[in-house]
This record gives sequence, structure tokens and C-alpha cells, in this order.
Amino acid sequence: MNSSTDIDQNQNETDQDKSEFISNLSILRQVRLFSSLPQEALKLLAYLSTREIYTRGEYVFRTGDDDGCSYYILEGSADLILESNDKSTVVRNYGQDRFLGCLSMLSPLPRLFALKAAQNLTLLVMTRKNFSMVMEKFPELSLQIVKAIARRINQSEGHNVENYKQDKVGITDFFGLSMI
Amino acid sequence: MDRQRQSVVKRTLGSWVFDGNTLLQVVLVVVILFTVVARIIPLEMQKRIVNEAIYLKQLKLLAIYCTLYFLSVMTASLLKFAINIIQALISERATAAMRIALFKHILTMPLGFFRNTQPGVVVNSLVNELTLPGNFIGMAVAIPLTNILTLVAFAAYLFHLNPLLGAISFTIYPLMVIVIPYIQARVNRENRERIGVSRQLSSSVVEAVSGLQEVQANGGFALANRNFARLANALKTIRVRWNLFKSGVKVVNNLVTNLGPVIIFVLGGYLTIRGELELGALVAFLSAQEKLYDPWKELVEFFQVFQDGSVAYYKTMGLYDVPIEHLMLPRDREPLKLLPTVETENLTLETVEGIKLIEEVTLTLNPGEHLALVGFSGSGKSTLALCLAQLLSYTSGRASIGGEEIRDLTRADMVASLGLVSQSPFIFNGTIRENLEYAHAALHGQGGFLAEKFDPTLDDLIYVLQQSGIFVDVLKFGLTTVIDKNDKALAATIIQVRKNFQADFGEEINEWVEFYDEELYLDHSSVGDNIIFGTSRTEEFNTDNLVKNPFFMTFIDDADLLRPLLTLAIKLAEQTVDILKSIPDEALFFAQSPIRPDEFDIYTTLVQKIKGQNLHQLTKPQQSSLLTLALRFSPGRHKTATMPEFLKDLILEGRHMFREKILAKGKDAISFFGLQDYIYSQTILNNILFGRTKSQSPRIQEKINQSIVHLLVAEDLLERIIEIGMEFQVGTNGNRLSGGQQQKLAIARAFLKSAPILIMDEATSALDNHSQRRIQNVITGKLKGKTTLIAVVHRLDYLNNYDKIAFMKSGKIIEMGTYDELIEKRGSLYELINRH
Repeated sequence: MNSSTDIDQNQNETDQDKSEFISNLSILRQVRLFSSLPQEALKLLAYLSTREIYTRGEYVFRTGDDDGCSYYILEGSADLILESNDKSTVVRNYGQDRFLGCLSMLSPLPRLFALKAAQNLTLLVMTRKNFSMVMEKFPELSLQIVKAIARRINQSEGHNVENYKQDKVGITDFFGLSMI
Repeated sequence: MDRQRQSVVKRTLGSWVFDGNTLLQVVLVVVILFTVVARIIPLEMQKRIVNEAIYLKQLKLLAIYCTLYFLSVMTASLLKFAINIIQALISERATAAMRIALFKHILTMPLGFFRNTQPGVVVNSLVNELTLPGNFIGMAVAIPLTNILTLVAFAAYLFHLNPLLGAISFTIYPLMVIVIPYIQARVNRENRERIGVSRQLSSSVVEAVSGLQEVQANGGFALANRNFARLANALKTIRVRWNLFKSGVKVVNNLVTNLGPVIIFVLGGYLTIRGELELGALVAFLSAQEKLYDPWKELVEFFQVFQDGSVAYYKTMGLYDVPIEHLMLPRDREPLKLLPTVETENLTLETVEGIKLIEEVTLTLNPGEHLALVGFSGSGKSTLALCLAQLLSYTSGRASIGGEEIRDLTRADMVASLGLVSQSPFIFNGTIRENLEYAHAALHGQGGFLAEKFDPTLDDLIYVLQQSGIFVDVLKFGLTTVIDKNDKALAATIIQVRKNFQADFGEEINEWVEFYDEELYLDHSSVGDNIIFGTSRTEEFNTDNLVKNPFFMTFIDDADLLRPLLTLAIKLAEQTVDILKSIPDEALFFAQSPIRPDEFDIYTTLVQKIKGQNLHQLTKPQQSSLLTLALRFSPGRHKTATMPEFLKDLILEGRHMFREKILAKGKDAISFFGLQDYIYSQTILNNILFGRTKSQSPRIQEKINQSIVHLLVAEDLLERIIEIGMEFQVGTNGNRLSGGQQQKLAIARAFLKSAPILIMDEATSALDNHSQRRIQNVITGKLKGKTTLIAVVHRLDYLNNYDKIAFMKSGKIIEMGTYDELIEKRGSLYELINRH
């Protein structure tokens, strides 16, 4: 049921048999951060998530924004952009099935980057407001999320350390940690 | 009069007894006197009925005495009723008076108090704790007076009949009122123990059940059983004792009540036979003996209420007995018009624990100067700002506004000179407009501090809405309002805007808006709207009444829609109930659900009942409930079910059939959607679009609003829509506004007040870059040189707009000067900026 091939077929199936809710649910179950959550909480999150479409070149958020959302890329890809006064640099391209921005579920934070649709982009969006509503109902969630984030930061850093040891490190590898 | 000046928390409980209730208490005393008389008469009548009427066989006397007996009983009951009413009135009046006085006091208490006191405690004090003292006030005169007088009157009467028997009658009950409370206390103690052990028993069951895997895996049956048996036995013992004492109370009660007559019969009978007591007097004794019980009981209970009430009262009042730091209103003068200079000298705030939150702060700010306070969190920036706003009290040093020491100014003086936007501003339940005018009204409104009364003009309001950047939000609220059916003029103008909109933006906005099109199924409208494709003019075609409407139901059958819609509804109900079952009473979660919060239980039951049933087995009411749900379903909004394509086609066909049938019927029940007609059931926005937006996302909404604004301006409608938008209800704590909207509203509130000094404590922390820049531009462009500003700054971007920057660290100002000076100095600010 939850095999990864299932996800790939989602796009075709959604329109006919599966309701958007069911496909949201199976997507969220794949997100590592949520995988340990109780089914009831996951259902609520799937139910409260919405889909947004961005045309190529449109910004999802800009530096300094507190958009208060996390995003799952359903289709297309997005560029993470470092904006400075005179120029913008593309740090990384995020493709399909990436989950971005989970930190902003926990606290209002200004974005350190901009995210721009590199192709036409369909996102599954969860707002902080909805997320905190679910957290209030399942207080044990917050601890699980914090643990998952701690693990994630540790992994990322570990990854960077490994890269550094192998002399592969470029400064941009460190960028984007706030996008976990 | 002195009482008015005396703080409510210093008053004694007794002082409330006659406060404002003197007249009622006097009336009460009079009523009580009559009651006591009315209670004695039956005894005398009983005596006379036996002695005179029956003994002498006088029917006429019997009739007279019985009538008098009856009348006095009736009178006594009515008077008792009157006493109860007056008593309740006094008690409620006293409770309300105490609540009002205490609330007034609490509002003026130092903020520090509330850091250690939960709002729940204050709620409890004001709502629950004062009820018991209030009860006491109601009883304070009535109960002792009634019962003591009754007892005295009975005693006098009985002694007059026979002193010996009278004395004995009076000793029975006092014994009882001493013994019974003692046993009752034991009952209460056992009860407490019973509850305690019951809890332990429950938790041992919980533990065993949730750890059952461990119990079974390790074979820990014996241990779990032993543990449970121990508690179950302990509970048994306590329950036996508890029952024992409980029945003890009943037995003693019964015994004494029944023992009384025995004694009266023994002694009274003996005296009567000896001829020393009349038979009638014996009857009176028997009857009186029974009636003596209530007064004693009531007196004991009164004593209990007095004890509990005064404990609750002094505890509650003691909690709030904190000195008030600042007077509310200046006596006999207008609030001062202070020159907006701010000066401090060695200003220090030290906590009781000896921690210096601010230390030796010295600064001077001339009228119109702008100061930025910078530093890490915990450096004392906000504390300093709040001290200057008189909201925190400094412990040493000086701080003054216009040369007047802040500590000595009254609240009114401060309020008149100072505006404050705090870090997390509070938005009150009400409309945007009420919140906007809040600070202004406190000065210039009815009962405001200043003599000069005036309301802000619409232009003023719009001006500050624009400056703070909340204008677009208010516009959005205005556009999503449903206007009144009678506002034909507004509707006509909006139709005009619609036409221009279609001409100018129809193509461009197509992607985001689903236009009403007779030939298309509308994913973002409900099934019901898709069928009717219009607004009902009569009750029977309102969305919620459709399933009760025979015409509509016949149509549904004819159009072959019933079965597919029921199938759809069952799916929808099952999914929604399954998702929301863990949070059934949380309205916020229901925004995306076709089931409303109050209907949730109904659908939960329905889903359980129809599980495994076929469509033809559904009862009529079940069909109606399901159909209601199906008619509300809109696939664009409700994501828990999908709309099969064939059903869309079927509905589309049905739409035309429905229109034909309605027109054939010659009824004017529906006004069908048409480009020329205003849709009164829908929002202004939907009317302008002549359709619905496909997404609720703010990004899309803004795009659409931007295209609409120009058209509104062209039709001179913008101000009107803003006025409508300002009537938006923000909800409790402003929870229908986002954090950013709340901050912008608070800033607009302060701008509208336009006090000579403004304190902004990280006032823009929840705003995006663009909004922050806009507000900074207003501050620099419009307020510099006019309003003295102290801003606690959380971002360093706009620092060079300030006249002075004070860099704080551990409560001290470690460097202060202009931006250029500090950068040149290459000190802490320079370091902070370049670290970024």
C-alpha cells in the first residue's frame, strides 16, 4: 500500500479514484518527519493540507518573509535562491517529493532564502496555524517532532562532516539547513 | 463615603451586609416579624380546636379556628417565600457589587502581579469564589433573625403553657445539632479516603491494561493480582465504614425526631391525666416539638456558611491586596499636557532576588527625537521601554516625561501623553473598527480621560489603515462581506464594477477564478448551487430547506440524481467522521468539512447505523441527512471525496431540467445567476468576479484584489468597502486575524491616537520585509520631529533612520550615539552589524 511506486502513480490515480485527502495521507506518511506520528494526527494533517500551483518563475516565498508554511513538491521543481542586494544565486534545486520548511511549523521565522518555481510547480502546503491546531490536540506530537528535527540536524551535519573529510565540501553544502 | 475611598480588598465581609441594601434589609426584618407571629398562631389554634371546639363539640368554633389555622399557615408560607426572594436579591446584589468593585481594582493592579497569577485564578475569584460570601450576605440578617425569633417565640409560648415540659422540649434538639455534625464530619473524612483509594484502584487498572503485553510476556499475573486485590480490599473496608457512618447520621436523625414525641407523651400524658395540662396544650406541644427542628438546623447551617463564606472572602480579597502604584485619575484636574521630552538618570530596576534588569541607565530624548534600543534578547531593552511607559516600576534613579517624575504621574497623565505598541499586542473581541478606535476612545470617547470629545473621521481611519499597511487586509474583509438585501444602490454599483472587471481582467484572471457559466460544472460551488444555479427568493428553496421541499425532491428523483448523490454522501460522511472523530468539538477543524460542528454527532450515529446497508435500505430521515450533505459538497473545497465525472454531467443536465420545471411552474422562487443581477446570498467579491476564487491562498487573493482595487476607485466604491471591512469581527483575542494583521492593527491603533510620545516594543516583528519598510517610512517621514519615539528594534536594517541608538547589554547602555558615530567607533553595534 505504501510502497514508493504507489506514490509515483498518485498523479494518475488522484483524479479518478482517490480523493485528494487519501493521496495527501499517503504522501505525508512518506515524509520522514511525520512517519512516527499516530494515524489520527496524520489524517488531520492530510485533511488540513492544501494544494497550490505556481507558474514557472513565480516566488513561493522571498527572503525575510514569514510565510508560515511547509511545502511538499508534488510536481515540478523549485530553486532555493540566496538573495543579496545586487545579485541572486541559486543554491540548490529541489525536485519532486521533497519536503521543505518544517522548521517554520514550529515558530515564526524569517526566511533566509527565496524559493522560486523553476518549472510549473504543484505544492502540498501545510500552514503553521493548522499544524499547531493539530499539535494542540495531540500534545505528544511536539516532542516527537522536536526529536525528529534533532535527528535531522544531526544527520545533515554528519553528512557535511563526511563531505568535509573527503575534501568535497563547498560552502553551499552548508546552506539550506533551515529548509529541513 | 469613606467606604468609597477605601480599597475593596481592605473591606470586611460584614461591611457589605447593609451596603446599598439597607432598605431591603429593613423590609426583610419587617417581613420576618410577621412570619414569626404567623408561625405561632397555628399552635394556639391547635390548642383551642382540641380544648374548645372538639371538647365542647362546637362546630362553629371549629370552623372559625380551622379557618384561622389555615390562613396563618398560608400567610406563613407566602411570607417565607417573600423572605427567600428578598434574601436572594440581597445576596445577588452583594455578589455583583463585590465582583464589580474587585474587577475595577484588579484592572489597576501592577502588571508584575499577573506574571505570577494565571488568568484562570482571576476568573475563579471573580466568578466562583465570591458566590459563597454573597450567599452569606443574603443570609446575614434573615436567617439568624428569623430562627432566633421563632425559637424565642416558641419558647415563650411553650413555657407559658407548661414550664417543665417546655424546658424538656428545648433540650432535645440542641443535643442533636451537636452530635450530628460530628458524625457528618466522619462521613466526609471517609468519603475523601474513598475517593483517594478509588483513584489508586483506577490507576492500577490502567497500568495493568496498558502494560498487559509486559504482564503476559513475563507472567507477572500474581504481582498484578496482588496489587489489585490489596487496593480492592482497602476500598471495601473504607466503603463499609463510610456506609456505617452515613446510616449513623440517618439513624440518629430518625431517633431524635421520633424520641421527641415519646418524651412528650410520657411526661405530657402523665401531666394531662393528673389534670395539670390541658389536652389542647398537649397537642400544641406535640406539634411545636416537631417544628423546633428546622430553626435549630438552619442556625447551624448558617454558622457553616458564615465560616466558609468568610474564609473564601478574606482569601480572595487577600490575594489582590497589593498596593496600587499609580492613581487612576488626577484629582480635580485635567490630565497634564506634558512636553514630550524623556529623561532618565541612573535608572535601575532590581528584582526582589537582586537581579538588575536595568542598571544605571541615563539618557535624554528631546521632543520629536527618535531613539532605537538595540541589544540581544534579555539585555533589558523591553524592560526599559516598559519602565518609561509606567507599566513596570523602577526601583531607583529618576525617569521623567516633560520634567515630571514618571512614578508620580497618574495613569491618566501617562495615557494622555503616550502611545504604546507592544510585542504581542492584544486585540479585543469586536470589530476592526472598535479595536482601531480603542486607544482614541479612551481619551476622547464617552467617559474618556480628556474633556475634548470627538470621533475620528473616516478619512482619519483610512489614513492610519494605509500607513500601517492593514488597508489591504481590511479591503479583503470588506470584499468577503455579504451585503444587506435592501442595499440596492450598492448592489447596482457593484454590478457596474463586475462589468468593468469582466472587460479588463476576464482573460487574465481566468486561471484563479471559476466564473459562473451556465454550461459548466462549477467545482468550487456546492452541488446544490450547481443544480439551482441561482439564489432562492423564498424560504423553501434555501439550501438548508431543499431536502424538505417536495418539488425539489421530486425533481431529484426525476433527474436520476438520488442514488448517485446518496452514494457520494455516504463516502463523504464516512471519511469526514473518521478524520474528525478525535476532535469533534473544535469548530476550526470544520472549515473544510461539509459537516458542521453541531451536526457531527448526528452524522457519527448515522455512519454507524448504515454501515453495510444498501441504498434501498436507508430510511427517509437518513436519506434526507445524507442528501443535505451531498448538496453542500463542493469538490474544489472538500477534499475527502471525489466527484465522479458522470455525476457532474448528470447534474449539469439536471440544472437545465430544474430551470425548465421552475419556469413551467410559473413561480418566481429562484433568481437565476445572470450577468445583470446581483447575487444577494454571496459576497461582494463573488459578485464582482461573477464566480468564485479557486484557491484560498493569500497570494491568489492578493492578485485578484489588486486588479479589483482600481475598478473600485473608478466607481468611487473603495471607501465604502473599507468601511464595510472595518465591521469585520476579529474573534476572541483577535484569533481571526493573523499575527501580522494583529500587529498592523495595533500600530494603526497607536497612529490614530497620535500621542506626543510613542513607544514601539518590537512592534513589527511578525511583519514581512515589505510591511516593515512601509511602516519605517511612515515613522521616519511623518513622525520625525513631531513625535518622540522610543523603539525596541529587533532588526538592524533601518537603524540609520534613528537620531540616537542605544546599545544595551545586561541591563546597561554600553554605547549610545548616532548611527554614524557608533559605526565609526567600531564598538559593539559595529560588531553586531558586521557579524550578520
